[in-house]
Amino acid sequence: MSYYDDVFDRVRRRAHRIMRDILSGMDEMEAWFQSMFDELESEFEHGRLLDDTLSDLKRGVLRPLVSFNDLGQELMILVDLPGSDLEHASIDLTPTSISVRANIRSEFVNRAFGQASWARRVSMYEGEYQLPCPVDPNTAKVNKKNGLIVIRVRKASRPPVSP
Amino acid sequence: MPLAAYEEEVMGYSFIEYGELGRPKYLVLGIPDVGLVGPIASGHLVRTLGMNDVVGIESYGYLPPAAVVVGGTVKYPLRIYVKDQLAVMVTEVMPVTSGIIPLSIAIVEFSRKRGIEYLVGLSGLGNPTRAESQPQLYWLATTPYAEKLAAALGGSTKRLPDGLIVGPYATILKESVKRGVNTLLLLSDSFVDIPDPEAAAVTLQGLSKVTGVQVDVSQLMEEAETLRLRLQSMARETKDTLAKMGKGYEYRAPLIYS
Repeated sequence: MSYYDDVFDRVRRRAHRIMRDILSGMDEMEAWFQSMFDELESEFEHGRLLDDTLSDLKRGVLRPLVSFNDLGQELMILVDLPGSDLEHASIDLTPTSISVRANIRSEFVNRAFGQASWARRVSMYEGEYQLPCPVDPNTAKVNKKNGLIVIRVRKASRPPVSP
Repeated sequence: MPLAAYEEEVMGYSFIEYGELGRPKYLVLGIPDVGLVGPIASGHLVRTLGMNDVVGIESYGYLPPAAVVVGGTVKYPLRIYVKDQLAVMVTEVMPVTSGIIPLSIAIVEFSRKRGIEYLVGLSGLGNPTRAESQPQLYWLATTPYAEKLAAALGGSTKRLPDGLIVGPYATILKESVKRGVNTLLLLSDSFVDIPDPEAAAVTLQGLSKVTGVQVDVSQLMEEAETLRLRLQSMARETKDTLAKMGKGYEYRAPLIYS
């Protein structure tokens, strides 16, 4: 190997090292920006969550927990309404959404939240949710037990694809 | 809140000891996860066994600036209660997503340093058909000693089948294996995103068998509906945090199977 080959080889390796350092710095910067965006997004989310919660509580309303479970041909929807009289709960299931409205018995509210000032007005569940897939509401089978409503409903067959 | 007698920092979390922790044999973990099984079970343990809080866990980086007020007394949002051989960690506030892994490592390291023999995690295993079936109990152990502990559960309790675990207990299990800490995880079938006191009762019955500490779950079952109402907000917060951690990966099969 000549002297010049050796010099060129060292220059090439040094250039590689510099490029690697620059690229690793870029990775760090990218991770830093990503965490900054995540933090910003989470701040906006928390702000929205607080606004929604305060607005609901002012009306004495709690948004019930609703869980969607894909069982293949069917969708199982769980509506958690602890402390309510399920026989008088209003559930409206459409092909794409479900809306829920039910009173909460005051003794349950007192036992659950004690003297918390924000809970004094709470008297009702209310919420509307988009379904994860279209369903056929006519096939719905409803089961009610201990403050939980379980709905099994067939998924709607796919709409024909337009040419 | 009493004055701190001793304070130790692990992975950004301060373990503030204001009572006598001693050297309990078991540390039971009630970290929020699927169905809030851990928090419900740990809260019930503390109440029924009349345990005293002796350690507070705080982080100004990973926890919201929250203090819990119980009976007019200010308390840390994460606390360790103790009675005889049993210590229980209660979590009232979920750390931010980036704080879950450090918390999991900190718990394992704190237990190792304090000579706690067994970590026992109580958690839920999301089952889409849980509403139509009774919860089944599963276990997972990190060492042969922890496996021996699981033997007390009997044949009806199964070892967790092949799959993926995502969340705080995944890190606790991996760190326990790495550090040789005896960890037993008791998982019960539970609702995915609705608080599940019945699943919590099943894990407590399993805990009774492995520790020999009898826990009456009848009151928990009687108050189940009230608890579900009280914990709705916590369930929402936990679902949000777990979703950000990639909890969805649990619902797929692993690449290598036995």
